[in-house]
Amino acid sequence: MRELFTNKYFILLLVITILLLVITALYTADRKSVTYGEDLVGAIITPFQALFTSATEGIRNFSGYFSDIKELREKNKEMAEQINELSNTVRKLEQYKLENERLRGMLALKDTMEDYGLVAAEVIAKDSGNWFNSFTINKGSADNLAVRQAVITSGGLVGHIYEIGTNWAKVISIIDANSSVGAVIARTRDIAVVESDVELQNQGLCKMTYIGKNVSIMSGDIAETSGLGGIYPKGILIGKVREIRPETAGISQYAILEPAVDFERISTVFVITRYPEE
Amino acid sequence: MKGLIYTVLAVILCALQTTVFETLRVFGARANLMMALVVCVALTRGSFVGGAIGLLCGLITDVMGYGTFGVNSILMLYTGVCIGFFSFKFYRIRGIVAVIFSIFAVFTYNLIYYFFVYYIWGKGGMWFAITKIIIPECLYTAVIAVPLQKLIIAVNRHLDIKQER
Repeated sequence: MRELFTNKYFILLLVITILLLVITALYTADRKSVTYGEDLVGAIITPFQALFTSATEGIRNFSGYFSDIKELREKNKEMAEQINELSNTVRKLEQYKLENERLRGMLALKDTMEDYGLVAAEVIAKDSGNWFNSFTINKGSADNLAVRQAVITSGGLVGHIYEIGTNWAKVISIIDANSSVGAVIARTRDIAVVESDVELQNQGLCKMTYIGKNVSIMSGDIAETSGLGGIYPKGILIGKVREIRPETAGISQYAILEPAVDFERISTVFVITRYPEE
Repeated sequence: MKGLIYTVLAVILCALQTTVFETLRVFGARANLMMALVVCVALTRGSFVGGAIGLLCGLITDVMGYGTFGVNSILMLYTGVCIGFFSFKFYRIRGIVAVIFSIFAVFTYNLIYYFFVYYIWGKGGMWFAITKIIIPECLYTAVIAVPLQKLIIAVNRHLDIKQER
């Protein structure tokens, strides 16, 4: 045992471990900004990530071009048949248009967003592991972004910034198991909390919890942000209820929520930098 | 020189893992390139270098990823140190050794991660985590570890020859 403590490698390992534990303990405290070291590492890696992302996109587009040519002949044949169905499609589109207008009116999203300050950003990297649903965007504090600012797309709520560097920011999505959002059911105005777990997160879904047993929630109901909690502004579309399940204890129920945003194909986001009250 | 090459390799693999490999998912899982690097370096260079590269990869993962800072650093540091102990037993490194150690390292790392981040907070079933996340990641990483190990052995050999001259 004494030999072990006189071994310089063991002592070095022990010192590094203690140092890392101290850093971890300090990190868990609520901190306002990243360290210069973290910012530097982020600044070095983000250009690589941007390069690889654009290269991947280029390869995907290039390979897609050839597969498209293969399919063109078949599609041409199919399209000739589809012309006959076009009149029917137009009628359906009219219906979708009316429904879209109704939803927009109900959520008043368009009018509300005009008063907000939005900064567009590109997603340049996803989280390095399989456990979290977070991603990095190509804008940072140099673009007036800050921690706890909400991130949206034209579809709805994405998440919020939890860490920021000069030219990058990390966003935690609402389907991450560590995220929770104050929500309200648009039709009934009942308040709930949107969160997720490891299983739902991997399926691109989340759940709406703390819904009273007497609340008349139904599949297809729309969930939007309640504005409670201080991060997300009121009235941003979160998603649509897919199914309702009873909680194990039986005193409340929860709903499986299909987010309005497709997190698999997310590429451009908007960060809300200014709120109407300001 | 070797330290610089390993650092550059770690940065490139981190960038690849968070971008290109996001679109190259197999059964919903991404390969853990950083862990594969730690395993391969530890097997070829021993505990000290393995621990050092584990610490470096862990720090990069902590900086670039979500979660409590330091967790990846500690886990990867000890992965490098522990696997490095076996480098002398398997001095004639073969692909199968890298595959077995990669599976073992990724499985243990993910199980510990799952336990502290999800299980104790009641956020998700263990069966789902093991079958849908951990095992696919283990297998995917093991496949990547074979060419990566060959690359590291080639780099080491090239640098050793250069050093001897």
